[in-house]
Amino acid sequence: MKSMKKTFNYSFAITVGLVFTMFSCDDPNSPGVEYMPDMYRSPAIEVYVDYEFPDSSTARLTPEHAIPRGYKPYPYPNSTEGFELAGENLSNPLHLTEKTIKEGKALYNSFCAHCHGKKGKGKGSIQNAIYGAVPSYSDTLPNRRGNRSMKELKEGHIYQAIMYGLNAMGPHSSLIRERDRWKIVAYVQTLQGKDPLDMQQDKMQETKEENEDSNEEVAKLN
Amino acid sequence: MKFLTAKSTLPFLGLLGMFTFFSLSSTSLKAQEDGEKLFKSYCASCHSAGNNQLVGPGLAGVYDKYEREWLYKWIKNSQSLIESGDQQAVAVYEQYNKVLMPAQPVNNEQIDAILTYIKDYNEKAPAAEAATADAGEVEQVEVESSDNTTYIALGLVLVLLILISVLRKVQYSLSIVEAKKRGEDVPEEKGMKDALAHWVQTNKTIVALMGIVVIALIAKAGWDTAINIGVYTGYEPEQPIKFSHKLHAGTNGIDCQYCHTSASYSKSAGIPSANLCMNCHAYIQEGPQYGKEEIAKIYAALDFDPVTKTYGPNTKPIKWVKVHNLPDHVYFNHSQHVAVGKINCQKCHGPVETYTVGKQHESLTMGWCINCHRETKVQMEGNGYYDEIHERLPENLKKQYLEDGTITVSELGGIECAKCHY
Repeated sequence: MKSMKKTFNYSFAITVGLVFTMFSCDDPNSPGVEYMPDMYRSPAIEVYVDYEFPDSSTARLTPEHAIPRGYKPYPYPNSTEGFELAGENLSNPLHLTEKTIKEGKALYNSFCAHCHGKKGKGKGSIQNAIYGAVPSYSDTLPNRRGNRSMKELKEGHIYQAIMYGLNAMGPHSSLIRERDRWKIVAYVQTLQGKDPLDMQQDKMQETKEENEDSNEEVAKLN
Repeated sequence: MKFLTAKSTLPFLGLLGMFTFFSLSSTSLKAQEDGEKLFKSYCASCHSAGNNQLVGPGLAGVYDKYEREWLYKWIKNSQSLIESGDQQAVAVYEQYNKVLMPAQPVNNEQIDAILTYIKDYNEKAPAAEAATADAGEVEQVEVESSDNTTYIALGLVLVLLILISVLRKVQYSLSIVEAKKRGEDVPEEKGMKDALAHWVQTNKTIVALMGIVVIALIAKAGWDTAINIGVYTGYEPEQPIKFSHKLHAGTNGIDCQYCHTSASYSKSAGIPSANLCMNCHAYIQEGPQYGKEEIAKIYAALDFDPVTKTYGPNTKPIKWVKVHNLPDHVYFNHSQHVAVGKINCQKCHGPVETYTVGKQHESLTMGWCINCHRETKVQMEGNGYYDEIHERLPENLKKQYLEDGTITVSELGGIECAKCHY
């Protein structure tokens, strides 16, 4: 009889304990119970896991002076002069095809359309008034960016604007990769009412002719 | 005209006066509306109508500070004004970090309308601000009061149970007193336990049946609990900043991948770093739901001064709580699903653009993965590699896989164990 009473007491204590633990799990930030944490938690370093670094940040910066693979320095500073220089000197390094433009369109719709509008007219879906006065790419009003209209902006200007942002537009170099930036530039040119495919071909023709000219000159000299 | 005596002209003139008054006031109203519209479509992306600086300075007071003629010239083409050597123009240009203001395609009347709007805005602004502040307070109080219902219900149940047991006891002692009065033999105080044992002895079938039911219920509850361990459907943790997907992805139509940029390139979709927030929030400093409070938390994390727009050294990471936690023994890659499979984000994450708080929509169990792999057709139209390889398949395999005209993920080995567990 005594032992029965003991078991009863034990089971009572366990029940109370269980009920207590069940209620104590009410923390909305705890996902709940898990099986075998050693199979759930990665022994290798994983993204967004708190490894209790001294600055409590889980997203780590790369070591100082580290350079990503394929990195090319960008020589144009974030200033009015840099904007002009980039416009003059930069050109699209990609070989443009119909497919590049199509990919550019998809990227444009993800990264640009909510402010610049799907058709590049500046009528995006953002409700805030600050982003309600975005200029249209095909705008021909003079003196909109320096001494040129929006439509006259060259590929280098557009690329520089993606890199550093312009006026109320923030810099997008950290979210869009270099290749993708150039694809977007090509698509934006179509929204300006230009044909980037044609333009690139013309340019290649020109450089080819220039090369031939210089070759001829070299031949003459010889 | 002879018939128009003084008596009859008076009401006529009155009417005329009223009419002109109304038409005048309506034109001024219209000008104001136009002013607002014009301001929003030409000025608002760089200037606020109040005092705070966005890209350019706030425009409060600009209508008194400068001469109207100078303003016309400046707004229509500031660059030529600076180049002409106008001292005031050069001073303004130098003062605001040498950022050129683009020439605006507006005429003098439109500029007047815009300036009138800015003036009106600044005269009305303080009252409007006070009103919104009041509304905010009321809302907060309401939210706090609706939290304790479960505790109240539990308390009520407890009180009822105590009441029932006390009443039982009273009834029992009363019945004994009654029996004693009648002179019946009252069994000695046996205690609850003995009484219970006696009842069990006499009602064995009922006890057995009850026992079976109780065991079955416990088994069912145990099974349900065990099978749901590690399944966190509906997990909706409280985040350090009350970021609303509904506002950003829903109302403002920002693409998922604008912020979760690595979804199509990497295993993880990525939680945006705070610099990405600043693409818009360097200028948008007040939200429609919580005002400046929540956006100020981004500034605190970056040690950003919203007035001078400069960053300090005391950064503090924002500790977002991860919602979707997949166990380590299963491999999942976002880019595979987003870039190659062209699966919509919503297919697994639910209608995120309607969530005010991020939550886990699907169970993320293996059965759920496998079901999708069985049902999802692989889009291989226009892919020459697959056209060729299907052409070359032996007849029996052709019949097995190609007869229904579709190839599912599982038919390409999408439910092999080692596809996800390795």
